[in-house]
Amino acid sequence: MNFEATFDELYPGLFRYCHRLTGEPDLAEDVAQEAFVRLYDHRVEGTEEGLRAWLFRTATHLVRDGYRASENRRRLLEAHPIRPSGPEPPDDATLRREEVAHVREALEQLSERERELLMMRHAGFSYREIADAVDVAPSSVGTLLARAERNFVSVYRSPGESDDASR
Amino acid sequence: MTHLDDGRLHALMDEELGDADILAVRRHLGTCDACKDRMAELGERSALVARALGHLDTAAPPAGARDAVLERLGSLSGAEQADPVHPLASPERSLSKNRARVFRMPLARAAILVLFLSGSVATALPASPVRGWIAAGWALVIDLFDPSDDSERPIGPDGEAPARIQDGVDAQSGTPAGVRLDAAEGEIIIVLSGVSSGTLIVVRMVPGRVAGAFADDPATFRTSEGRIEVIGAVGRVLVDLPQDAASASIVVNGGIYVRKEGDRIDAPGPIEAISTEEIRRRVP
Repeated sequence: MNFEATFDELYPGLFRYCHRLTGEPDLAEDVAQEAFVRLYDHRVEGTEEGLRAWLFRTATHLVRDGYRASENRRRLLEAHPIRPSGPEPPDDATLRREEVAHVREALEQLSERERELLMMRHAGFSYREIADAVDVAPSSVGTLLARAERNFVSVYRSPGESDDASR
Repeated sequence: MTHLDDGRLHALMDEELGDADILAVRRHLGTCDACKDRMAELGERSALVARALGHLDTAAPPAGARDAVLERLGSLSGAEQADPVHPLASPERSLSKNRARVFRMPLARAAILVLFLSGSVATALPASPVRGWIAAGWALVIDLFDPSDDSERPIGPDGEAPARIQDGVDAQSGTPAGVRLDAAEGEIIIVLSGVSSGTLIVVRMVPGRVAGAFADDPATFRTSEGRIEVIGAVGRVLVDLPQDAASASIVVNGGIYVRKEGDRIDAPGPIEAISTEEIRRRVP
């Protein structure tokens, strides 16, 4: 394996996945780099697809370990919210931040596995790769994804819009 | 009419169905407007989720990430190569004069088995009998203290023979706080970073497969799958190396201090003190 070429090819996507999953650029950077260090340490070999799946699976497990720490921070913030000093006119940056917060809030309502399912699906992984990473049967991924997307949208959409009735 | 479930529709949408399934689902969709509408709804929902997740991409991958990773890997692999100041690599000394007498002993007969071998020596002397012992996969017990053979002793950091630990009990009071981790998949790495100069690293071989690392304040600890990290240790660190782990490494400030592969243990670098229970090395 040409490690440097593999890194250049796969790191941006892995970082993006970790950032989506954690919401924290520093943590995403740590996790993505750690996954590549382990790839080297464990002398993992394989096709690019295989290495990508291995890296994302490792990163998923690393985030699970680290996420519990950030869950405590979230609970603390909810108990002691930081309030702005006064009303400010919204600008583009503010609107973007609000949108990000809105998405994050919807993701927080999902289970850990549902978040991972959505992130990996939208990072382009196959059902078999997703099943391997989140420890479910491949035949159940379609159903679990449909459910995760339904749950996400039911929180994400503003009140007054209703999602279709589930079957 | 039996309708298609969301799981199969989603799998069709994601091109994850087998050929036979695809035919069956498409045939049904050709005759069922309700399922066709449902498929369209799932598609819109999936597209909404994709757009929402796209909002999260507010940070670009950091520049220099590759260099940071290569630097970490470089400091690890550099430490595995020959130690230029290791006294055993000195051309004036033959292997026999630098090695304690060794005994072959089946693993089950000894509580703690330790093999000390400089990686640089094994590389420099390919025909040495020590490589033969390693190739045979025997676990070895080092008898360091045969009073009738002063020439066969390992060498300490100042060229002197390392001190003998009389009974393997650490003289300092008690065991400091720390963490343990089960080497469930047979591999474990214990990383000590930010270790102060002069800190004593005491590596103990313990039965079983649970690794441990212990240090006094202000050291902090992190664990993840197959990995223990100790950050900022000062004074003393105790590391339990599990005998039953398939492989285990102890990395101190980016350098390999001890590596265990099966029954073989490598400990490149000067050793301060040694017994059948533990190895003591001090961070330069």
